[in-house]
Amino acid sequence: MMGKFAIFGCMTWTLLAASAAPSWAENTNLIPQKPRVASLNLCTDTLLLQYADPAQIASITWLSLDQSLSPYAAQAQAFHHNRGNAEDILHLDVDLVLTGASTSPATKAMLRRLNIATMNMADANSTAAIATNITQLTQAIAQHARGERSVSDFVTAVNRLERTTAGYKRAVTDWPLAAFMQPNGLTVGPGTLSDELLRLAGFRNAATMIGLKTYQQFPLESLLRVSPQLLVMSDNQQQYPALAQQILKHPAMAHMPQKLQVASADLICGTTRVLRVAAAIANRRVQIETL
Amino acid sequence: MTFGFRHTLGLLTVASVALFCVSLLLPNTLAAPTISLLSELLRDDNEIARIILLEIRLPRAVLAVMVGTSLGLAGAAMQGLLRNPLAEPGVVGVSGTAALGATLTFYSGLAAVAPLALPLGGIAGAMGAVIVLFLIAGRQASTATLLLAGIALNAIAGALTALTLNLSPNPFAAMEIIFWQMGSLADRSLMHVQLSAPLMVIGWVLILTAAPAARALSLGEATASSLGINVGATQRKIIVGTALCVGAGVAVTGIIGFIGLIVPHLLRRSCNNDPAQLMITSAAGGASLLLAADIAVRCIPTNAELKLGVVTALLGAPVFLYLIFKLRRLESS
Repeated sequence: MMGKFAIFGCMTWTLLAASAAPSWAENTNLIPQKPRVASLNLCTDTLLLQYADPAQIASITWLSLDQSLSPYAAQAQAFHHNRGNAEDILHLDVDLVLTGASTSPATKAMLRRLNIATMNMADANSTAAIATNITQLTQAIAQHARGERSVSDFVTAVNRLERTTAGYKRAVTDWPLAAFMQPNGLTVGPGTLSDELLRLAGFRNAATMIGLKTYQQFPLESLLRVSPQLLVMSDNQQQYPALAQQILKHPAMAHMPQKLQVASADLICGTTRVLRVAAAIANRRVQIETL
Repeated sequence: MTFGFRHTLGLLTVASVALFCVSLLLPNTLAAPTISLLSELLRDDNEIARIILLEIRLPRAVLAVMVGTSLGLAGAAMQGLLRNPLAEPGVVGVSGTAALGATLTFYSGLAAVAPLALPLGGIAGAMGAVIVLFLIAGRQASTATLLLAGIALNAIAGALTALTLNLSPNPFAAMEIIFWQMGSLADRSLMHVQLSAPLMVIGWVLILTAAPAARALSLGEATASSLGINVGATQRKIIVGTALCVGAGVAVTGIIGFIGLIVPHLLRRSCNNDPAQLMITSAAGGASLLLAADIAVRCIPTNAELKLGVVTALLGAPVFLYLIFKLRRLESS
């Protein structure tokens, strides 16, 4: 149950993003130099695997073992796994517990009652929020240098994408349309990280053409009518069947012009990996521009 | 009776055809709320409208007709077989076990290798339930026994369906319980029609060839035998026909309840309580009702499209309650 909830949480990060702020300040001075950290959320797992020393990682969620969800699935094998509950990590000797938007309120309350230092990380809904999250997390796990280097590279890359799109002759209102297409026909609307990635790559988000908000289904008929020049598909489960994938295989989808398959693991959580997605989309824009 | 079988059948056929056309050409609430697809088709540049008509609207409308027909027909047939007006595939658990069978073949990956496994799984599930019901409640069962058997079958099938979905490693699977329990025609393709339609048609033929004998059977098994009716063969045809209709339908649309209850109930009087006529008009009535319900879910402005079973339950559950009240009065008097 927890697992389903965690995944659902990841997918709805845009809706939940605004809510939480770090709630760990009072306990931070108790943390030793290189703290041992347990993570109860897929996205904090990913950041932890990216920035922490292996010796610092006490536990991560079992979701990180799935390579369609985590870019570090291979490395994740080596660590202790939890199912996102406080109970799973109580016997471990940890200095800090990371929670996320999909961590249940009951779990957070229990960690508070047990006086365990926790840091809650809201899911990033913009590249700016990704930079903030990286800074906060690397400070909390005493990896400042790594964090600063990564953030500075990240910001440089974002700026480079912005410069490229600024170089296009067409006005922004005349940019080609693109839409994200995920299992269940879900797409992302304005105010989300994916929406920003489309803009950074030089596309307008087709979902805004029919007034879709944040995370919603793009009706197949509307998709055909709006007919975006690019569909960005991130199908993260292809080996096990579910109805959610059927719509992506609907015969009507064959009439959509261009499709780009991106790795869902790069997109599910706000990390520097989202730039890979942005770069792949931007490549398609360059192709359109040179036509 | 002035408004008899022929009038009813004629009216329902006309209604089905009209609703079928509405379903094909209905404006899309989100994309183009004021423009009917027809006006888009009449334009010169109608490529996209043609794709929408042939690959999205047509499968949807055709499945509404076929599954509606199947559920109406199966309802009337089961009510004849079990001699109880409350015997409806959804209420007595036949649709539930059909969904279980389809879920097992789909999420195990069998249907990805052999697509026909999907409807066949549904049919196997439905067949199991009809046989169990016939054994438990077949001959002289009270309404209570039949309904309790239905509750048990629905509980087992629902639990095992949920278990199957939760055992799937695909994170989307667990949420799809809504589709299987509530049913939907959204985004079905011609592939679903190809898979299920032939099997449903075989089911219709089996039930309809048993219909004349079912008329005699309604007078009691002894009377039917004395009239030269092969009772066993008639019952087998109805059992297999119902399983084919419900199983193949549920496998592609999920459980859509109460159609087989509402329709025969409304039509029984105009068919003079003749089981054969009731089966034929219920088929046409089921098609009309499912088409209308599907048009309704597309017009109700919900954020995500409403599931079909929600509409049919809202219509059907009150009828169900009313029938229970009526039967209680009959049994006490």
